[in-house]
Amino acid sequence: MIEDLLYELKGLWGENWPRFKANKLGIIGVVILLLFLFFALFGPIYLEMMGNSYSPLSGMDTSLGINPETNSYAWPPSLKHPMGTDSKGSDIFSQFLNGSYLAFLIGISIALGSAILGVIMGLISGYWGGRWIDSLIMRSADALVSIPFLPLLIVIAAVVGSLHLFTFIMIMMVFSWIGVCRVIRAQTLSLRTRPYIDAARVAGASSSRIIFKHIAPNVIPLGFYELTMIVGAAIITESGISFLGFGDPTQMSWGMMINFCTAQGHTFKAPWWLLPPGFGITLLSMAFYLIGRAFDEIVNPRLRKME
Amino acid sequence: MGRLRYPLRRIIEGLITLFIVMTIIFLLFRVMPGDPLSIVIDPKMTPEVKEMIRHSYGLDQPMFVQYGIYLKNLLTLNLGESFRYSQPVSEVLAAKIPNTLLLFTSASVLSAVLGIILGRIIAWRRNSKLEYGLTLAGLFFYEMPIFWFGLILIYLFAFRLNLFPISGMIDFELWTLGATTGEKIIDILHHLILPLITLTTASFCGMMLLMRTSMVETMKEDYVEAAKARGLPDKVVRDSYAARNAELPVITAFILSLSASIGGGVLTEKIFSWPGIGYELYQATIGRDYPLAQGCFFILTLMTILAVIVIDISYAYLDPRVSYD
Repeated sequence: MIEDLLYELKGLWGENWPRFKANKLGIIGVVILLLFLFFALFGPIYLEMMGNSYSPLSGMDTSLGINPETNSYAWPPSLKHPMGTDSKGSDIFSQFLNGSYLAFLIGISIALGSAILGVIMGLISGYWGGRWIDSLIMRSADALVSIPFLPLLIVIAAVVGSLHLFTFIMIMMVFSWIGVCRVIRAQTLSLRTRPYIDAARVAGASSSRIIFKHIAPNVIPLGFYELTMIVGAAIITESGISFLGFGDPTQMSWGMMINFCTAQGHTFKAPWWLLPPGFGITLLSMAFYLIGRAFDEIVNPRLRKME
Repeated sequence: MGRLRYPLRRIIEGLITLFIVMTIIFLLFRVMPGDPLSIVIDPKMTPEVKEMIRHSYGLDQPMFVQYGIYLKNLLTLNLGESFRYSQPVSEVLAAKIPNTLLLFTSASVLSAVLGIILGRIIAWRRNSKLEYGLTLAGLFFYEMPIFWFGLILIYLFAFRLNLFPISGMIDFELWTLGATTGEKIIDILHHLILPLITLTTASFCGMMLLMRTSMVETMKEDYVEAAKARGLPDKVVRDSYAARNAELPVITAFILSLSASIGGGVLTEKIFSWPGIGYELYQATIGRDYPLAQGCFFILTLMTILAVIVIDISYAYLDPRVSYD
């Protein structure tokens, strides 16, 4: 079943890559994404090489003196510290690398989790479910959509103190599957009445075979665009929570860097500290979105260019 | 009855949502470890006084009785007493709601107008340099962490250029010195500009891209082709034929982004110390003022649900093709 699905998706790739290549914005997205992927993969190796004084959380360069401009150990970029240092003399480039690793971890795991949830819910709602299950799922989706989730995360943080990374990922998954579910459901509803599905059913195919072999390959690509948006939203939400000071204190994410910068009163004094994490968040989320959009223009027939 | 059924159904659904959310919040606050009273009860107090305070918050009752009291209180908007202000939560919030509405609605309207206008331009000139440029720029602002952009704006326009105040909503000195109503309005607007720019810049692009997608779809419709074939000017076809129908789906999609933009609003209020519900929520959380934090969340959820219902219902009336059973 799963092999069938992979085979179908592979065919889809071979067919669509040439079209994707022609999309300039999509290619810009891929380039940015690869750059950050490089940071995320080689960051840990670099940090290992540089040793303890470059550790993103606890490291500090003891050879630094006080910078009279900032009144702390925060120094602008130099050869030794390509992005400068923060107020306690910690290397910002190391923190930045660690931040890209965390951003991928957060974004991808939330997107994968909500993809699985969304696809299952969408298929149940659109194919298996009778009227009751369908409307139960769709009504809960409506309810979830009208909960302002950043305030909810803040309220939860008020109770538990700070949001552990794992808790954060779990909560975000619960709120992120709705978009995927809606797309999958709508497509499934329109596919299930097609003649080729009827033919498969008459030929004796089981429901699960029909779903995985005949329906899923046709609807999953349409959910991909939603997924890339979830990655961006996840990274941005995490940064917001960390910025407010409710993030995981054991992880130096990009949002946490901005939080430290403002909390130490360096917002107006140390642009080399404030700017990199913000650009990281922006560019990486943007890359995911650009790729998703380019992909959508290909697989979504309503948007296809007239050739 | 027929016309009223749909709005009625949506309102009931909204109430159910609100009920579910507030039940989750109730459980969250009661089940979590830690005594919510620990910050108002001084360890040196006598047990009788402690008990009295506990009783006044209803915390000496069994859980389900507390839940009943809680629901009854929510219905009557009796949201408890704020620990920090020693004042009813509803009174604290009533003073903040207009400030939040002022910021949120002006930003939403502004970004909707901007997004729709720019969206139809880039859809019409699909694959032009203008489209790539506007999309990239808009996306950059859209995916930007809003608080970070706010900090940069404060640095540039308030700290460096000294054009706008760094934070707050009014200039206390000016107000206590007996300013005229006109001066007061100008003062508030002066404080509003930076937060407004922050929120609008971060959200107009979402509308712009939605409008573009929707417009690309309607541009393929036969009536648009027919209008072109009749030799109508480009601008008329674009604005009066294609864009008119493209605007409707944008409204539905807007609903989906509403709860996210409330999050952005909370962060913006925090950055600019704008005295609204979001800033109050942040401060209540920091100060462990549970009744106030809960009240702020209640109001924000209520606002989101109301907005979703209003948009949904007006959409049903605006688009005759949509039929709701």
